[in-house]
Amino acid sequence: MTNKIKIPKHMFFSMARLFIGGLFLYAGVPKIMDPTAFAHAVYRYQILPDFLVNLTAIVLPWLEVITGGFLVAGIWMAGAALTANLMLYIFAAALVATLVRGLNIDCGCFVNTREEIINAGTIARDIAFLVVAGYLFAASLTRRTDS
Amino acid sequence: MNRLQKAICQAAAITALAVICALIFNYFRPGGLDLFHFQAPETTDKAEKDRVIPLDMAAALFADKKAMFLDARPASLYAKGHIKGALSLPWAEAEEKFMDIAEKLPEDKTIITYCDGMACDLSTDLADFLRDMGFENVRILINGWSLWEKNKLPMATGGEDNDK
Repeated sequence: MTNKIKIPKHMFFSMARLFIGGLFLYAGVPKIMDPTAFAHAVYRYQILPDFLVNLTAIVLPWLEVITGGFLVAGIWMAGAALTANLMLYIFAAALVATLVRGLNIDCGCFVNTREEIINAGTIARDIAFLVVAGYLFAASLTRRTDS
Repeated sequence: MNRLQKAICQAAAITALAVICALIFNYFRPGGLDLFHFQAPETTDKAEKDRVIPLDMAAALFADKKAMFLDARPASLYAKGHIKGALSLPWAEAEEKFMDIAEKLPEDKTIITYCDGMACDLSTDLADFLRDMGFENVRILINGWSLWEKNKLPMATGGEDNDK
């Protein structure tokens, strides 16, 4: 036996779960509060046709909040982790598309402030979240018990 | 049902739940959005429209030296290329850099803010900010950098000093 303090696997898992869950709650709630501002943020990406802008602005924050809520509560972990991963992939694709087209627009990722213009760092951050979310999904698929 | 299939079903259920909550909440909340009809922010009121300056007018003011251009994009993009004589005032740093820029803004010239892309609203935000700071003659050149570049109007690269 060594003296090393071992962090149990389930601690890692819980930390990742609370981190990603909290992140989605933090991202989603302000967007629900101000749907018009978020609709403008979606519009600025110029990816969706106009008739899908409002629908996205209405549904996406709720998907973030419900996914975040399930992750924090630890319910349906595999499904919630899968949803989180899919959202982060879609966000990454939208960010890359924006950067490639050379649009200088606000990210609209978290609160509806206009302070964060999309750059390589925004994409790197999304990928970092994806790594954690990916682990979460893989771990919830292979865990012995899954609620 | 294996675990992956179960996860997919759960994800589908979460998505369905989100759609239902979102639609119900949007229906009952005051000021809920119209589901399919998006109102673009630029076209909402007339006074706002009048602040937008067309390219030919901006170019004419430029030629007569009656305009001062302000680049609202990040400094790195300004350095790569900007309207000749324009000052860099990135929207993200507008408050910190404003004092340095303010003394360079001539009172007798039209201030024209610009950024890049039809949907870029950094220039509009910057124009709002300047208006709040007391500058009255501020116009916005929508999609300014792309238009300027496309029409091969005078450009410069690097810092402000290179423009002279």
